[in-house]
Amino acid sequence: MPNLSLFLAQLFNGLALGTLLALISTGLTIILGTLGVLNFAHGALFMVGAYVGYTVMQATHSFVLAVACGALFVLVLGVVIERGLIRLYYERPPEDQILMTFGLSIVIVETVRLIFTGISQRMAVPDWGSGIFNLGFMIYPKYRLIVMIIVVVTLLVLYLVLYRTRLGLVVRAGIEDQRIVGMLGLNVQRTFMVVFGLGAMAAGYAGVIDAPIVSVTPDMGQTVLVESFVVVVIGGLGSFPGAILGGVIAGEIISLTSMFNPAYSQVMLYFVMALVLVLRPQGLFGQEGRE
Amino acid sequence: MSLLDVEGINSFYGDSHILFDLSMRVERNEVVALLGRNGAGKTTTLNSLMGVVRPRSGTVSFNGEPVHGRQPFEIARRGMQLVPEERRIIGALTVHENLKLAALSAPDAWSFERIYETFPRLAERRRSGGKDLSGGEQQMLAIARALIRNPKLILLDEPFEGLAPLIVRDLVRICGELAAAGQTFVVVEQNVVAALRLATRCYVINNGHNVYEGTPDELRQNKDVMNRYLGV
Repeated sequence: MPNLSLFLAQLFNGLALGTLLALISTGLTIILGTLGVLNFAHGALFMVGAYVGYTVMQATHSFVLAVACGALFVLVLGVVIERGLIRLYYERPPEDQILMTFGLSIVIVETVRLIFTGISQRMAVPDWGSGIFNLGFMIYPKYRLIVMIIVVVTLLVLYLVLYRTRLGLVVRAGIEDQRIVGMLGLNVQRTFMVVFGLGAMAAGYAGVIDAPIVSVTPDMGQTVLVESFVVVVIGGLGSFPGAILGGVIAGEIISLTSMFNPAYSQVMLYFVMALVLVLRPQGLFGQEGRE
Repeated sequence: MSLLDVEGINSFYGDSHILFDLSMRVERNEVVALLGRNGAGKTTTLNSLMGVVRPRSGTVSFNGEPVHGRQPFEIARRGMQLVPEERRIIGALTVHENLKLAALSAPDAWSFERIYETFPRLAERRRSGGKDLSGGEQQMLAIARALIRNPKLILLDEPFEGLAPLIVRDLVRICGELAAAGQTFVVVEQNVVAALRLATRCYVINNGHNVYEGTPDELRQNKDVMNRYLGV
């Protein structure tokens, strides 16, 4: 039977994983809510962020530069993808969009494999992040602790963008009703481009800061994609607070189940998702009747 | 030059032909009522003006410029506003945020004070969520949201539908005051009495054809048209 200190440690690990999942899922849920597109390439964008970060870190040894380049690169990639591909699929049925973004993710993953081979890489932990920190109830790697703080701050910034800016107002309105937003004189198409770019950037940014913790491989986005879909379902499609709460819940489930048997952590995740779908099909913060 | 000039538009929903060579015009400071039975094509007419539906043929000129084929946001920026039948209040935003959203892309927007003076009820509810409003409040907000953009033309689609008589009276009064102050309206309404009280001129639409044009007084006396097309 696990003891209290192990429980606390796993609870903390779950929070760390959960906030990261929340950040990735925020991008996914805003894209889904605003554009109505289920982006199966979201995990691949996370992975691209990690590889750009890894490459810049190798070349410059600057973590800040690595994060900035990773996030910006994926932002631009996102805008290019939206203008070049996704835009052509807004009027098409969801299965077409899924096939297209799924195909796109394969192309991205295999392109990265071609450039970097499939061998897993390790991104160095920045100097200020190496070492450990005593939390009182457990010893924790300093970098992971800092990542948690970075993620929470980033989520706060995202919150401010969504709830305190002009763009945020249009996005929140667009999630609910694109047509009226257009009839009120706002160019929804342009907003879509910005939203997809920012959503992609959230994934790429998360990829860079997660890279020193995990091993960087072309397939690292797959688990992340699946888990963030679960987060979006639990939290409610298109809901920012839902993505955050859903992320933390998913992180805790994975982490706490691993304490008993790691093999069951994914199973528990789906079990809880199924439970939410039965009891509250629109998700914790979702609106009823949304498609 | 009329504010709005519609020449022989044909509009479709999928394969079904809804509007047949429909023509109409709206002068500045007019209140034009579009009357007709359910399914006559009144809403489709408004949607065709706003660019929500694109007419397959014919022309729509607004303020001297052809706008058919343009997107709704472009037409809105030229000064046309549709207040849709479903009202489409953003439930996740507050009353104030709904108004703010509408004013974003309007270069010559009304001040919030002026809107709240026109609709005191909305001032009281400014922090309420759009989803928490009553039907009457939603309709006020839908009209206020169009008005704050200071448009040249407001298209009202069934503004009084499903509202209590007292609220209808209020809305008719407010719209009447706005019209007296020079606001141009096109009103689609099943409530013929309320519509004719506001209108300065009216069209009757039947099966996608424009079948009658006249003043409210002329229409009231035309028992044949009233009977045949409006069932009054």
